[in-house]
Amino acid sequence: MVILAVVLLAVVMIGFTITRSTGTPLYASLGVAVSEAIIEQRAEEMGLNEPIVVQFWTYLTHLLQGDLGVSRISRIPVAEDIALKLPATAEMVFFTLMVSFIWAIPLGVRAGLRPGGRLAKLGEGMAQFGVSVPAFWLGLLFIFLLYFLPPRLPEPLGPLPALFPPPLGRLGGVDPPAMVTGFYTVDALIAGDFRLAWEALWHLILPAVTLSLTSGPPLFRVTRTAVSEAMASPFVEAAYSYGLGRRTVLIRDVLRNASPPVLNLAAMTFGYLIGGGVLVEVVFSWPGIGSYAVWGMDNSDYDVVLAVVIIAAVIYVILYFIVDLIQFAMDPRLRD
Amino acid sequence: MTTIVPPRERWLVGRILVGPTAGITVRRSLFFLMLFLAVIGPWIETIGQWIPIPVYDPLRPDPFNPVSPPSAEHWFGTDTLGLDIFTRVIVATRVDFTLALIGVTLGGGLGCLAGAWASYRRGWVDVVALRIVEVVQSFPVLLLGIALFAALGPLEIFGPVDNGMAVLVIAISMVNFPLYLRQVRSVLLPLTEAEFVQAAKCAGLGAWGIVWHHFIPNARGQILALFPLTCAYAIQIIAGLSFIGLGIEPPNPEWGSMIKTGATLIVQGHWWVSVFPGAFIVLSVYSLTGFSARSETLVGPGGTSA
Repeated sequence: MVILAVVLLAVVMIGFTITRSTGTPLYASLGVAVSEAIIEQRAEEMGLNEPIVVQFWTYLTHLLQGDLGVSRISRIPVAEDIALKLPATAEMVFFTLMVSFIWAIPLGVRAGLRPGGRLAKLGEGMAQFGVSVPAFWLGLLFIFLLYFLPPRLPEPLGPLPALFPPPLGRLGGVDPPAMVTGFYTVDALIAGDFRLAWEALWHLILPAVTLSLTSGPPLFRVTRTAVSEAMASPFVEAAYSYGLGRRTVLIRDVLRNASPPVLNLAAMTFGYLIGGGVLVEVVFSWPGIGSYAVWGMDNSDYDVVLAVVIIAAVIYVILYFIVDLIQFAMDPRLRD
Repeated sequence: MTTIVPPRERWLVGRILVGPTAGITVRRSLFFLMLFLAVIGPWIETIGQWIPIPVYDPLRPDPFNPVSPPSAEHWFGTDTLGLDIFTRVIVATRVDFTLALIGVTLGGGLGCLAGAWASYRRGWVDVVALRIVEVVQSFPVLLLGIALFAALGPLEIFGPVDNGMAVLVIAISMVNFPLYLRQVRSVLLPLTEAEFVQAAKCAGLGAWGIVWHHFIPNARGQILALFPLTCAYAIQIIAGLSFIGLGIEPPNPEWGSMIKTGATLIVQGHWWVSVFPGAFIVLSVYSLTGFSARSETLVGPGGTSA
């Protein structure tokens, strides 16, 4: 616990030092055509004249109260913006993992059971492709191939319903459902609006598939290794020698023993993608924290950037910690 | 004081690059092609005068020819300013490769030294090193890059060096430092008590001498396996940061920023502006990762990569 706190503190400190050691962010919020006096007054208001240590202390105490500062451009508290945008990112990342579970894990199990088989080769090919391709470029490629290319009727007749939606965020100009969880698909279902849920899901497919293809390869490889290691282990041999059937052994021994590292990695991937999906968010105009950080960057709005960096890192660290605990609880061998 | 290197490990780099292969020759030739393009890079215009390939000035716009599809005059088409994409993709090869190489060497080198030092000293040095690694690695790579640009972007502290490039190199180094530290440490930790280290200590070799002459060479295989992989990764990061407008400024050719130019055009069907630079990223990354697999087989078991 102490270590966790130290790491979190260091994360905040580094983030703070990096973004605060900059020139004059004041001009960005007030424009260049203002007098020195106004700048000075504003700097005083924002506490920029204090020593950096005092500034950090102020920031830290505010942070612990859930106050992440105020956007210098929109004057909206950053915490409010993030509360709106984090669910968007979380939803995208969640569906990304769902997609990965659909392709990477079955293929990994298959490849572990029968290395060199056709499905093992397919999985390895997909993994190789996934690590070589930059996610943002793959997203653009999908937009071209699946959104632009499919035929549409000429203008007067109105466009044919496109196969995939335009890459313009979470919903195509429809009002979002009432906020409960922040996941549009779930919220729409709660509101009982199936058409809206479908709409939200439809907009999720391309970003999720893109991210899944590029973040799934480690999942595939770890599954493969875990399964093949379990297959080669003495307890599987023992189980067979008891006369248990193939299916029983596979579920009872192999998959159960192979699952901890896979679940571990899945959780880490989730934590990582919260901040790691920036480019895909930009490509699909997804209004998540990644696009928010880029927006902040474009406007020299450093509190925004800092907040996103810290949030993403903190989520990752806490997830890491929880995964460790779960691992500990699940695996008696780690407990001594 | 010399290190004992098994004959099998001599000329490791050479053997990785040109030694006999089993089945990855396509990738290797691809790598040499990319390397060749990186070397000729900016001289492509001069070369174009001698052999009949359509190359142009990578920076001179052609206002009468914007966004024209691939043709005999413009193999990969032109972008919004009428810049020739074929020329620019080739010129950019050197930019991306060089930045990746510098960044990885810098961060990786420091990481190796720190890793070797940590595993030799152990105790609190080791603990501190591991904590640093943990903290740095808890930042998502691209957000770390964005934060660095927020901090260092407006400062012109790198003198004659282009500001964006310098920050890119720093970002790449920061990402690579923990990777190498971890890898080197995991290999060397069991060696602290090894007999040859004891012997060197008895012979009066200082701590840095042991680290330099005995520890680093022993991790060579793993470092070599990690190197191409991290370079490939670095190329992706550079392209990614340039894609959101950080790093290399648009008129200068760079794959990521070229893809950015094409990002708004692709929904109108002008695919070539983005597709070709992206394809070059894929090819370089693919060819580089091949070497990693290869050095692993040459180095033998235990040569795991991150």
